[in-house]
This record gives sequence, C-alpha cells and structure tokens, in this order.
Amino acid sequence: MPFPKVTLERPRWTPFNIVAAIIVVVGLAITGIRFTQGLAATTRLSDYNPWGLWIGFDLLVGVALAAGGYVTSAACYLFGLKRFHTAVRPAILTGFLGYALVVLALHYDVGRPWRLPYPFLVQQGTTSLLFEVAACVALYLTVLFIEWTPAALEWLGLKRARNLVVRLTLVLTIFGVVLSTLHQSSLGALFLIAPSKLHPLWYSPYLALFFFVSSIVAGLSMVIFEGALAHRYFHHKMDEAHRREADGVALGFAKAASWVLAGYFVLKVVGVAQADAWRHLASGYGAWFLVEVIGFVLLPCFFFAVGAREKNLKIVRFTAAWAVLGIVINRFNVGLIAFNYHLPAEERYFPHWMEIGISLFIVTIGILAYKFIVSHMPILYAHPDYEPH
Amino acid sequence: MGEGVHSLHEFMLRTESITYILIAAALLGFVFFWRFLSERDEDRDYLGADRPGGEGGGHGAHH
Amino acid sequence: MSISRRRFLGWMGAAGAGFAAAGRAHAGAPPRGAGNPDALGVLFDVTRCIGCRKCEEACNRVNELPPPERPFHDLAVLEKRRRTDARTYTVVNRYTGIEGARGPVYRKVQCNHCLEPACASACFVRAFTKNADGSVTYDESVCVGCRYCMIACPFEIPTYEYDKAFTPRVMKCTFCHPRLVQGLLPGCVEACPAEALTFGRRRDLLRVARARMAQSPGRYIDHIYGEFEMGGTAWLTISGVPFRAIGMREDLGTTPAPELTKGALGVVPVVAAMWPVLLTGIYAINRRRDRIAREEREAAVAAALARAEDEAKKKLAEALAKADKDKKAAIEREVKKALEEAARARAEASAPAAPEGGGETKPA
Repeated sequence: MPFPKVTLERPRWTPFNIVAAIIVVVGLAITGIRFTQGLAATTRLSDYNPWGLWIGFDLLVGVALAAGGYVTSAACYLFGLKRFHTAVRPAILTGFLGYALVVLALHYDVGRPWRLPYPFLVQQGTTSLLFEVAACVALYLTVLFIEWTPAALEWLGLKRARNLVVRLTLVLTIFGVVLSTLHQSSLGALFLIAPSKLHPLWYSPYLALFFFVSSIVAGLSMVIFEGALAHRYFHHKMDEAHRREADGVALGFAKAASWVLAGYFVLKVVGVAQADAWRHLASGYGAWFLVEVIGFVLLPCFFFAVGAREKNLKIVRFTAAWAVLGIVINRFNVGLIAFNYHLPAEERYFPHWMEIGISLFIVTIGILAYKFIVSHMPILYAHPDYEPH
Repeated sequence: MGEGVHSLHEFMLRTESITYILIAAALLGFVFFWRFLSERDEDRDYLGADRPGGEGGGHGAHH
Repeated sequence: MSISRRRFLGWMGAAGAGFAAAGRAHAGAPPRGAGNPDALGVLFDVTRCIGCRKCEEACNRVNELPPPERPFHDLAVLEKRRRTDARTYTVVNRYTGIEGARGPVYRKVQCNHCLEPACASACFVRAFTKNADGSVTYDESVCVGCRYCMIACPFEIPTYEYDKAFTPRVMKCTFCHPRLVQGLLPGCVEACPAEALTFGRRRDLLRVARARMAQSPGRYIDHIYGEFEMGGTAWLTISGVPFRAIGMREDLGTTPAPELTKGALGVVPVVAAMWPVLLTGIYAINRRRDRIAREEREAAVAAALARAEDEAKKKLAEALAKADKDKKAAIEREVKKALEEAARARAEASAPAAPEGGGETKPA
C-alpha cells in the first residue's frame, strides 16, 4: 500500500515554534505534578469551589467552540447548502480536535481519571445531567472521529475503507446533530440543580436552551474565525474550490450568526423577565450581565448583520472573534464568575497559574495537531483521486 | 429498603434508565426504518449513499 | 425530653418492622420527597447548644478521621468561621452580636441528609445512596471524582481530598450509618452534654420540635428548618434567632433537587425522538427538490436539443431544396449557353449541325 511519506522538516525557530515549545515543556512538567501530587498541588480548587478553570474553560468553552462541526455539516448535508461544502472538513477537524482535547482536559480535572468509563460500564447514574453530558460527549467524539477519518484514509490511500465511511455521512451527520443538541444544552442544564449558587440573572429554567442556541453562534463564528486564520497561514494548502467558496462561507455564516444571535438576545431578555430579575440589573452583577448581553450578544448581532449586508469580510471576521469572546465570557460567567456569587470574596475562586498553564498547554496541543493534519491531509483541498462527498 | 419507590430520586432513576434504553433502541430503529422506507426509491439516495452512480450504490449502506 | 438510648433501641426495632411494611405499592404519580416514613433524623436545638465542640471530638473519634491541628477543647478556633472539610464531618460555629440574642449563638454544621439528596441526584455513577434509615452515604469504590455533588449540594457539605493524588474521596457526614446499623447512636448525638441533639424518627422529631415551641412561647422562631427546605431534610433545626443570622440560607425554597433537573432530562428523549425525524425530513425534502430541479433542467435541455434538431433538419431540407433548384438552374443555364454557342457557331461558320449539350454541367 502506498503509504504517504511524512516529511518531518527540521523545526525552524520561528516565534510561534518557540512559544509553543515553551508551553509544551511547562505543560508536561505541570502534568507530572498533577498526576503525582494531586489536585491540591496544581489547582486552587476548594470545597466551596469544586469546579475551576478546567471545567469553566476546558469543558464549557471547549465544547461550545467545537460546535462548528455539527453546525457546518448540518448546513451542508442536511439543509442543502452545498456552497459550504469546502468548509465541512476543516470544521469537522477542529470539532474533533476540540472534543478530543476536552476529554483530555477532563483527565486532569477529575480525581480518578482512569475511572472515566465507570458511568457507562460500572454504574449508571441516569438521574444526573452529567451522565447525559458524558454519554453524548463520548458518543459524539466517536462520531467526529469517524467523520474525520475520510481525510486520514485518503492520505493513507485506503480507498475502500474511505468509501465505506463516506457512505455513512448522512447517518453520522444526523446522529452528530442529535448528540450535539443534547450535550450542548445539558452543559447549561448542569447548573439547574444549584439555583441557590448561581446568580439569578444567569440562573434560568432556559439555561439548557441558552447553551444550545449560543453553541450555534459559537460554531458559526468559529468557522469564520478559523477560516480567516487558515487563509492567513495555510493559503498555499487550499485548492481552487476552497478559495472560491471561502468568502461565501464567511458571509453566509455571518448572516446566520446574526440571525441566531437575534433570537438568543430575545431569549436572554425573556430569561430575565421570567425570573423577574430586573432589580438585579442595578447591581454590579447587573452591570456585568448587561456587558455580556449588550456588548457580546446584541452588538455582535448588529455587526454581523452590517458585515453580511455590506459583504465586508473585515467586519465579518472581526465580529466573529468578538462573538467567540462573548461565548467565552458567557461560559465563564455561568461556570465561575456568577457561580458562588453569594460567597464572601475570600472564599471565591481564582485559578492557580498551573491551571492556566494546563489550559494553554491543551490549546497549544490542539493548534499543533491542526497544523500537522492540515499540512499533510486533504482538509483544505480535495484529494485529486476522490470525489468529494 | 422495601420494594416500594419512596423517593422522587428512585422514581427518576427507574424512569430515566428505561428512557435511555428506549432512546438507544429508537435511534438504531430509525436507521433501519428509514432504509426500509426509501429502499425502493429510484435513485436510492438514502443513508449517505448520496452519489447516484457512486461506488457501492445505495445498498447495505449501514448495518 | 431527650431520647434515651434504651428507647432509641426499641425504636430501631419498630423502625425495622416499619421498613418491612413500608414496601407499599407505588401507584401513579411520582412521590414528592416523601422518603421512608419511618426514616430517622436528628433535631438540633440551637438554643441549647453551648459550643463545647464535644460533638466534633466524638465525630472525629468514631469516624477515625485524622487528628485536628488544634485539640477539640481549644475553643479559640470558634473565633473563625469554619466549614466541613476533608478531615472534618461536622463543625460548630459561634455567632456573636446577633440582634435579640443574649450572648453568642452556636450552630452545628453537618450533612443534613436530605430526603431527596441533590448529591445523589447529581451523581453520574450513583455513588450516593439514601438509605432506609434516613442516612445518605457515599461509595468511594465507584467515584470518578467529578465533584458535581459538591456543585449540587445546597448546603455545601461534601468536601474533597484534593491533596490525594491516587485515591481522592468525597468526604461527608454519614449520619454514622455503620453505627445505626449496629443499633448505636450517631457519635455527635451520643456526646452532646447539653441535649441539643435529639435523635429519633423524623416525623416524631417534627412533633417534638412543635411541642418545644408550644411549651416555651417566644423562645423559638416559628420555623423548623429542614421540614421543607429542598424537599425536606432528615436533620431538623430550631432556633431562637433568625436562621440567616447563623449562616443558614433561607432562600433555598422547597423544591427537591431531582425536580430541578426533571424538565431538562425530559427534553432528552424528545430531542432523540424528533430530531432524526425533522432532520431526515429536511434532508429528504432538499434531496427531492434537488432531484426535481435536476429533472426539470434535463427536460428543458432535451426540449431545447429537440428544437435545435428540428431546426437543423429544416435548414438541411431547405439547403437541399435550394441545391436542387440551383442544380436545375445550372443545367438550364448550361443548356441555354450551349444552345447559344451552337447558334453562334452556326451563324459564324454556317455549319450544318449543333453539338450535344448538358453532359458536363456541374452542380451549383
């Protein structure tokens, strides 16, 4: 079998490579400490704050930002938006890497990571929303892996296996959307059990819906954002079709993101009304809530609309980064900032530098893996020997 | 404890466990039922075998 | 007023019989935080607590917890607000300067052993069990260490052994479940010298609490904390000062924890059932529209081709007809030319015969 030759170039000491190398080395060192000396040595987690950055960022933000996979494949394969076809593979790849890294990060966070399969294999706590999240994340990671394999199989020249997988596209896409809907929303629903700990401006019976709808925004924005980065750094890897469709993808997704954000904004306002939390708007938390909802929902909604109307890619790309930041802020608010709002300042959580180190480490691994795969496999171009699917 | 269901938690443990089994069965069932439903379509473009004339056609797309 | 050990043991027998009889058939509607009607509990009377920390000491001893940094008779630790931690299942805190209270007020903190425990509802490996005796216990042999129980608990009771790298456990009061099974009192109850802790069936304790309130008007706030909070707890508290003044949240509501997640869990099968239907439907609709568009396009192309073919045929026929005409005209022209030439020749030479014509005419 004609296996491809992996050309490992001699690493050049570009600024990116130097920074990445430092992060990886430090990350490996912290990993050693984490798994030999425990959570106390590496985190500021406490009995009041059992969830920190590794849940707030690596899990909540990670899963939301990896939503591009299901959003794009649904748009292309289910909703018939064929012009977005070249965006599917990069989105599936980043989705797959995102989920793989979420699962990796969970190994750092949970006390006994080797027991992660226990909820499926040993004892099922089906009343827990975390059971649902765990089941869906595990299944969806599998789905994303299978959806990604055609690229790897083309690279490896395994034609029959590749064609077999390609035939599953529709089932996998639908299954992926079902699983994504479920666990994206359930991540928000995790906090439904703690109404006394999450600030009333963020606690809402709609939490699940908020997380699901905003994950669509996150997925769309990340595809635009990653597309812009890919154009900057991997332009030479793109084929004609990819370059021709890229602008259409960005503008189309910007329009969709704007529209979804409009719905999300209404939902957020209705959430305040349903909780009758208006009076909290006058507090410090209220101001921060307004920053989130106006500054990072309503304004990106408006600027996406302007960008799509004017066909201005600069505005669209800038707004995509802005909206992504808005999702990060939202997940931080629910998971860390507005959570335990009732505790005195000295009992509140602030991450240890090693927690930040591991989060950076994991993001860096993701970027390096993306770089390797995009450089070697047919992600940004169609393999000449195969029909696109 | 006795056989009775005393708490909402126990009740939900029972209902949710059954529900999850039903969901798994339903998702699998959907795949086969859709196959049954569109097997005789002229272009047999179901279950991802979405290229008429593409390799393998539409048969046995999923097991 | 307090329950003696002998009476307690007698009750245990009765409770055992009660458990057996309690297997009543469950009909229709789900139970709402009812629990076992014969489950046990403890009534903590804040007005009796003297802050001696004897309960802490007993708890530490019977549960074989690590020795404390400072001895239990050292009351200076009361200066600081403390909480349960991985080495401590129960703590007593002192509250001073409370309006309407003469002197400091002490409050004991431990797991309240909810009737519908949030920790049990939240645990994705069922590590927590609400036992028939009312206690909520934890099984470390399945625990993954996700700490969602700590997120879920409204009383902030479960703690974690963050400093253990390989065998970290969630740590919390067990209601001395192993002792209850042996017919012994919980360590703290047994040790309390002030009879601030009363052990018994929860439903009896509610009566005891009301009786005390009736007996000493003005001594108590008219509320039994834990009767309804979060669906009710096995441990009940009565106090002479507002509960919020001694660090007990009054805004927890009465909704049992499983009820809070019931709606979200109920959406799961709906999505699983309807999303494939909707999405496959959308796919099929798009597919069909594509196919119809393709067929229409093909039909239009075929029609155009047919039309073009017709026209071509007509043109060809016309051309042939024209060619025919031209040919005839050419023959006539040649014949005419030959006749003219013959006439001329005849005229010029006065020759007798005209030559044969038409054999060598060319098509037009």
